[in-house]
Amino acid sequence: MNRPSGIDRPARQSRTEQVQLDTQQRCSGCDVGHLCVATGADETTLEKLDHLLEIRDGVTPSRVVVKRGDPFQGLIAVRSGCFKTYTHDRDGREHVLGFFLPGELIGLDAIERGFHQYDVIALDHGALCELDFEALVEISACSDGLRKQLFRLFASRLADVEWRTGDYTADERLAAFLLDISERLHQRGRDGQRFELPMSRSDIGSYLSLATETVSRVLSRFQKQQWIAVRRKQVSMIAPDALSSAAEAILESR
Amino acid sequence: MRDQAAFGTDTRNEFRGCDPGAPGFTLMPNEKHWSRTIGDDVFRGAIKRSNADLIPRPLSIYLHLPFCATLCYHCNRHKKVTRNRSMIAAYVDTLVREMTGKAVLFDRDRMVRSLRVGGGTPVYLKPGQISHLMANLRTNFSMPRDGDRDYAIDIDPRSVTTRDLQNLAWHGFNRVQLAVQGMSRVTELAINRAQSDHQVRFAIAKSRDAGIDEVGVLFRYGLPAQTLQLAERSLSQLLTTGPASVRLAAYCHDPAHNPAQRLVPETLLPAADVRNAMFIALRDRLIDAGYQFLGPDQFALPNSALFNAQRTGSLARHIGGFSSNAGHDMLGLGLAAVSRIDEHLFQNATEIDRYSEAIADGGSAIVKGRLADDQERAQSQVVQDLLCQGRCDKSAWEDSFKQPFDQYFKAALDRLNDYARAGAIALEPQHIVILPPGMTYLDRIIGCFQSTK
Repeated sequence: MNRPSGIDRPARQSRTEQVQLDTQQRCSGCDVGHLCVATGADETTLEKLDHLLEIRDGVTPSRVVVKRGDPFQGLIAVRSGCFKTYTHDRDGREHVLGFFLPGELIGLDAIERGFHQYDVIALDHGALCELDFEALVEISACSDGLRKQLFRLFASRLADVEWRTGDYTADERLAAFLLDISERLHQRGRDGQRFELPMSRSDIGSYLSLATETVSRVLSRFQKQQWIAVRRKQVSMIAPDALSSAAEAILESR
Repeated sequence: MRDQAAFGTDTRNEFRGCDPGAPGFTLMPNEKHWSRTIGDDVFRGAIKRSNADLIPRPLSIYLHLPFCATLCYHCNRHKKVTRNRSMIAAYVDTLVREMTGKAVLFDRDRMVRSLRVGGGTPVYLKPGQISHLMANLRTNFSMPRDGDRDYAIDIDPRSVTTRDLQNLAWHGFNRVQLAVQGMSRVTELAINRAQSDHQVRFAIAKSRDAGIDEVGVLFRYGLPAQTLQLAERSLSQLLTTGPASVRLAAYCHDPAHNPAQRLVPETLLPAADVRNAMFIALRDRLIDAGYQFLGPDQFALPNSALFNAQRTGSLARHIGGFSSNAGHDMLGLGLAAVSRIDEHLFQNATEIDRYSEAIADGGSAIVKGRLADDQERAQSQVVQDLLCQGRCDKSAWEDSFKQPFDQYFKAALDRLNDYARAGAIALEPQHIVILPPGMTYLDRIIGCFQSTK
């Protein structure tokens, strides 16, 4: 293989090896398959997807997996771990654009221009799947289920951008952020009541357009009000209803 | 003596060595538990991990200003008696350099909620030098000007001026601590610290005039030539000034480690039983005067900072006594200063030349450290809960340490049975509660939970 690739990875496995992949290595065997592209796909489509995807295992924290300007080869699905997309402005300040959990797609923004707009870094130990875009489009032409799911994934990404650019208070933003992570984890069969946040305070602040000081101030107030309990990086959602009320303005708009 | 009956003869001395007022547990591990190989890199690593917490711990800063004009024989702190002003000026420069170097390690959203300036005699520095240090603290750290902060400084009633106090108030100090060594001429002369009743009253009144409402006093007993009557009379005099908090501290006679004490005639020292009687009498006098008994040696008026800290759960006990900074990381700056980051301990060089050279070379001046292991964290939580809240919630502890409490502390609980039978504590299924008679023996009760001292 001599084509440049968005994610560095071992050379593509031979066809025979791919056929013998254990179920763990397939779309059909993936524990977030039900949230990712495989949702609603029939047997034939699943099999095609299994052959399409290229897995990159063993990504370690702080590893940059995509550089801005890398040519777009395909969508990147998070298999496990948590990833952050970000960019730097002219002054060298980092701007965090998104956090991606298992089953979520990275690289939608690159489809149009043909190269990645943002850096992608691992916040955690994790794994990624790369889905060749042309092949994905081809497969989706024969599968209503896959086509619908792709639209759904694209749309949810847009909704995410919308609420963050609205005119909301720090309390509303942080409450919505915690609820959003909690819900996304819950959808993934994880504990949505008690979870580790792998991103730093400054990442959260940058993502929500808040000063880092504001993030720590508001979170410690949430804790004082016994809405959440925080131990190191672990969050326990004690009063999700109170958080929902605090985030009402955002939740209503979604 | 309202709780003597519970234990028969008070045997405090057997447990406390030379110092009946000091705790039988310790917050400062013995020399053998420190490691001289722990230095700058471990310190930096601990701060980095602590920075990563989702809600960062607030910072407490301790600033050590070791200089004194004269030598007090009772003092066992790291100090330097000097009249050499250029030495002090050089030290201030070094201290600024140290704080600049260490401040960058901490995330800027870590607010300095607690500041303690001790010595030596901090106000031996000129107001301009104090201002210089405070300006540099404000430049390098996030220091809230108003609201939720506890900024305290030790003052010396013999030398503090109105100008000093106004300067301190302007820089945001809201608590002064002063030490009263018996308040009687004869005891003061025996330890070379003549400090008149008038000076103490002046210092307290002028602190309040300057806007520093909270005055804490350390009252020393068991001093040479001090009798029970003298101690009681001195305390009564002191209480007419209405200090917000009073800590009773015993004079510790240890000439082997503190050579100045060779100048104290041993024949003048009160006998152990007199010292114990003093503590009980002084304690009862404080309680009768409306002070709340917070811990083994600490008393505070309702609505004082320490009292409120106990109510809100922010009371913590450190080497220097109680303060309202539970859960903070503590950064010690200056000669022999101790830092506690993420429960790990680090200490700066204790000789002034070594300290100054290390900082001048761009180093951290940390010469030894002690890493907190799981056992120490587990014990520490119980110790702080009992010391500061008078009770320990077993299920909260089990939440943190994922082990059955009763099993983990079986040996300690066995030892506590005697105290429970005597009515000093209540051993409930879910809680351990210190009962009023147990307050005086708190240090020994807590000592049961410490396996490393």
